[in-house]
Order: sequence, then C-alpha cells, then structure tokens
Amino acid sequence: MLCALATAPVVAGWLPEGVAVRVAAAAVVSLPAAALAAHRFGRDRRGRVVSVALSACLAIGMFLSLEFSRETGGTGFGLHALLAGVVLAPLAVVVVASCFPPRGGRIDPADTGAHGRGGPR
Amino acid sequence: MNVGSLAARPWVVVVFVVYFVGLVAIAAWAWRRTRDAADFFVAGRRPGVWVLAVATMSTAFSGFVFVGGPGLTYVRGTVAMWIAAPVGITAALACWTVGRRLRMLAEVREVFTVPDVLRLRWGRPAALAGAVAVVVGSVGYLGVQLLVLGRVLEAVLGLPAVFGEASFPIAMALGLGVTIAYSAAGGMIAALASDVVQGAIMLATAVALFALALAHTGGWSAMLESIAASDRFGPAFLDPAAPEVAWTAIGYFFVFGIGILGQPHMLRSYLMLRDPGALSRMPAILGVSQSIVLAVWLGVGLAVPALVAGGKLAPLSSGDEATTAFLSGFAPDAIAALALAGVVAAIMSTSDSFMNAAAAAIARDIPRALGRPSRDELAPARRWTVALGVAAAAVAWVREDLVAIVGLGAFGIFAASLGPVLVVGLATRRVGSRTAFVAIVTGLGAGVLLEAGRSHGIVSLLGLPEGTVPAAIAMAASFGVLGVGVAHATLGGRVAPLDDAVATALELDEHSGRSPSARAE
Repeated sequence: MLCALATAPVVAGWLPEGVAVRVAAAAVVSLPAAALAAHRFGRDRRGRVVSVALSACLAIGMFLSLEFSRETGGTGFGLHALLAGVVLAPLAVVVVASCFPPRGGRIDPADTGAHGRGGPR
Repeated sequence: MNVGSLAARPWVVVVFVVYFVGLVAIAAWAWRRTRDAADFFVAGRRPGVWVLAVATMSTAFSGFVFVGGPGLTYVRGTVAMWIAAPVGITAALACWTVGRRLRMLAEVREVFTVPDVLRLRWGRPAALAGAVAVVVGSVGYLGVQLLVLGRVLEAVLGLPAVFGEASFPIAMALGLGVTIAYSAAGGMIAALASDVVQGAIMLATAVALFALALAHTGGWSAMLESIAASDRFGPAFLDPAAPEVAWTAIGYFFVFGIGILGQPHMLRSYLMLRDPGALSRMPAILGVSQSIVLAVWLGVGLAVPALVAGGKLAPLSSGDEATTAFLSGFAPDAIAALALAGVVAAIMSTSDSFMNAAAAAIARDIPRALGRPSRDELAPARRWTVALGVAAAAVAWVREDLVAIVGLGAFGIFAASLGPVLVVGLATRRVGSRTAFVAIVTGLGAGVLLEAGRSHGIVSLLGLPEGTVPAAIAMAASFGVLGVGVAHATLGGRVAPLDDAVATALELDEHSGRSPSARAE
C-alpha cells in the first residue's frame, strides 16, 4: 500500500490518468485503517467493526466524489458525496465508537506497568 | 487582510479591549500556578478531557480556517474542501493511535514533548532531528500568524488613522506582546485557559456565520444553484474531485488526514490529559467541535461566490478578502465584532502553542539530545518563549517571503518529518534508530525544499502530475525510507534494542497487544 502511495504520482505518466488517480485514492483512503490496525486498535471485535466502518465510509465517499465529479459536471453530487461520505459518516462512526470504546481505544495504566495516575513528573 | 468598513466600529473596539484584558488576566492567574517545568510544558498534567478537546480544536485551527480557507475556496473551488474533509477521522486517528501511545509512554517516563518520545524510542540523534523540525516549523508558522495578526489588528482598531505608516509594527507588537505575556507567564496553563475561551469564541462565530451565510443566499440548494449557473464560477466550481484537480484532492486528503499525526502542537495535548482512560472519549468531543468550526469555511466559502454570482457582492480582487467582504456587507456589527474576535482568537491560540513547543525544543529537547540537560528548564523556557516570539516577528518583518514559504508549508513540514516516523515507528519495533533519523531528516529536507521550490514549478520539473501537493511527496518519501528500513530489519531478522518499560508502554514487547491477564495466562 505504501509502495502504491509512493509510486502512484510517479507512474502516473505511464498509466492512464484515471487509473493512476484511482490507485492513489485507494492507497490514501486505506491508510487510516492501516494505521488503526498497525496500532492494534482492531484487536477486539468492536475495534475491527469500527475500523471496517470507517474504511468503508471513506472509500465510498472518496470514490463517489471522484466519480460524480468526473461524470456529472458540477451538479453538486461530488460535493455532497464528499461531505456525507468523507466527513459526516466517519464522524458519526467515531462519535458512536467514543461512547462505546473498543479495547484498542482505551488506556489501562496497568498495561504500561505504571503505578498511580498521571505518570512521573 | 482588508477589513474595510469594519475598521474601528465601536462594537469591534469594545470586544477587542475586553478580549485582550481577559487574556492579560489569564496570564496573571496562570503565573501563580506555574511552579515547575511540568506545569509550563504540560499544564501539570491536570486538564480533563473536555478542556483538552476544546483547547486542541482551537490550537489546531489557525486563522486559515476563518480567512484562508474561504479565500482558497473562492479562488480554487470546492477542491479546497479536501483540506478540511479529513476532520471526520483525524480526531479518532490521532487519539486512538499515536496519541494513545504517547500517553501510555507518559505513564512510565517523563514525557513533555514529542522529541522526548523520539529520544526514549530511538535515542538522541532522532530527538535532535525532531527538535530541529519543531523549531523550523514553529518559527515559520509563528511568523505567518504574527504577520496576519498585525494586519488584522491594524485594520480592526483603525490604527493607520492614528499612527500612519507606523501602524503595522505597532499592531504586530500589540498582538505579539499580549500573546507573549500569557505564554511566557503561564506556559501551557495559560495557553489552555485562553484556548478554551478562544475555542468558545470560534464555535460561536462559526455557527453565527454559517447561519448568516445560508440566510443571505436563500439556503443551501439556492446557494449551489446560483454558483453552478454563473459564468464566473460555473458547474466545475462544485466538483471537488474533477479530473484537473483530482491529484490535488488526494494530496490534500493524504497530508491533512495522515499528516495530523505529526503535528507537535496537537500531539502534546495528549500528554497533558489527567486521566489516560478518557482518551477513548476525546475523539467525539474533538471531532464534533472541529466539524462545527469548519462550518464557517463551508458557509462563507460557498456564500461569497454565490453572492458574487448573484450580483449582491462585487468580485473580489483577492481570495483573502472573502471573509471580510462578507462581514462588511452582510453581518450586523455585533456578529462582525464576534467574527473578528474569532479570527484573532484562532491566530493567537495557535501562536501560543507554537511558542511553547519551540521554547520546549530549545530549552529542553535540544540540550537533552546533545547530552547536556538543564537542571532548571522553567526559566530558560520562559526566556525562550519571549525570544522566539520576538525573533519570529523580526524574521517575518525582514524576510516576509522566507517566512511565508516555511510558515505556509509548516503543516506539511511537520507532517512529513514527524508524521511517518510516529505512525510507523510507534507501531513496530522494526524501525531502528538510523532509519528513524533518516526518515525525519528526509521529511524535513524534502518538505522545506519542495515548499521553497513550489513557486519555481518544482512539481513539473520532477515530472509529477500537475496539481500534486509538494508536502504529499515529502511525506511519501519519508514513508518510503521507513518502508526500506522495516524491510531491511525484517529480512535481516533484527529489531532495535529498547528499554523494557518503554517497550511495554508502547506495546512493542513480546506481549504486544495483550492485557496483563492475558500475559499471565
């Protein structure tokens, strides 16, 4: 994925423009999910659901925005896809997940081997 | 920034006098509560989640959200919205990945700054490179903020009529003086207190201006129809990812979505949180408050083109005039005063955090990275806060072009130098000290060079697609260095040595991701 991200602009000259853009978009929208997974946010079932939901919202929002912007020529669908899919839907997932935090979102000081609150000064 | 007919209106002057007196009062209050370096750098690690979330929001958003964002939208269309679009995920990403690791590390070691984290994880060279990146980006960012602050105050308070040509330096000195007063006196305690007040002003301003924008354009649908039907803007204005701007859209999302994990002024918030368990709730408060404030960008950014298209507002000579033109023509005095206070609040809340971050880098991080830690870090930090503020203003005054290059690209510089190493390096043990150092230096060097070369067409010279965001290339380069380093360590089967307590806190030990009870099993 990182390779795709790093090389997408470079290979844009070799690939059809639309393909290169889609490769880069796919790499970019999958990065947040990759970061969450790498930091073990999805180590329990609820965390995995949140990660998948966030990724799905971003992917759908990004691609609808790209497609609508290309095909409809300024009817505002691309903007609405951006606002609904990339901004509001993930935000709603985050708000719900914050209320019922998965294991990967919590910090238990006992996990760090620390005693007491607030850490050393 | 031309505030035109808003200058020196009684309401505006009254609001600003009250606001500045309030900030000085906060400085006096915080001075008595700042007793040691922990108070100065991380507010004694006493703040709760609500205070920190609102303060982080106001720190994250500078005057760009109120002035630059709507202006960029007016000039470039809705592709500019991709800068703001990642707000739906950035709070969660920051709190649940890097922020969580930083806070866990602060449970077992003394961690006040991001370079502290780099030093504990990778040793002194990486910490030194990180501290240099913090200073370079902070001074540039601070310089730009002070320039804008001076222009706003000069116009708002009607100073040219009194001081003539000396009005701009006087206005900048006034803004700088107030910011330095509370930043140097009360450190992060004062900064957090003022950030909460400033955040509340920003929220109120954003809601008021968004409602006003819809009211004057006939509502959301009418606003979009008016833009699409006009010859000046046309349907393409409303395509945020049209073919000719698609690379820019993706670049913005990459830099502002992932690069948020490298912003030292924001990451420090997580180190200050009193109850680490509360970090799980922070994304909701932070994300919602950020989204509300961004409504000002969306509202004014679309209302101004709609009003121009409808002939209710004269075409602007510069995008930066969008917000003030809207305030001058369509906002009642009280809301205009609130909005201008919101702009200044956004600038000052960002400036105080950068002053503190840069002062910490010079007074604490660089001496420690060089193996010469200072016994007393509080007094030097106060002195450096003053010195950095004055230096940033002086550099901005003498070399406005240089400051503009570094300052406008500061987000990207932080994103490229610190973001990748924190995202990847705190998640796997296979990032060694040398890899981390090279990744930071690569991101910093590429970020500064590409930003400086932007106006010389460096993107085209490198054979990259038109519209590619330079900071995205710098970030990708830093990620690339980390990818090579991780691959090398994986193939060689080697992992970097790490202190046991640090490894446990960062979940990089052999029990990674397992709770103590699971480990016992």
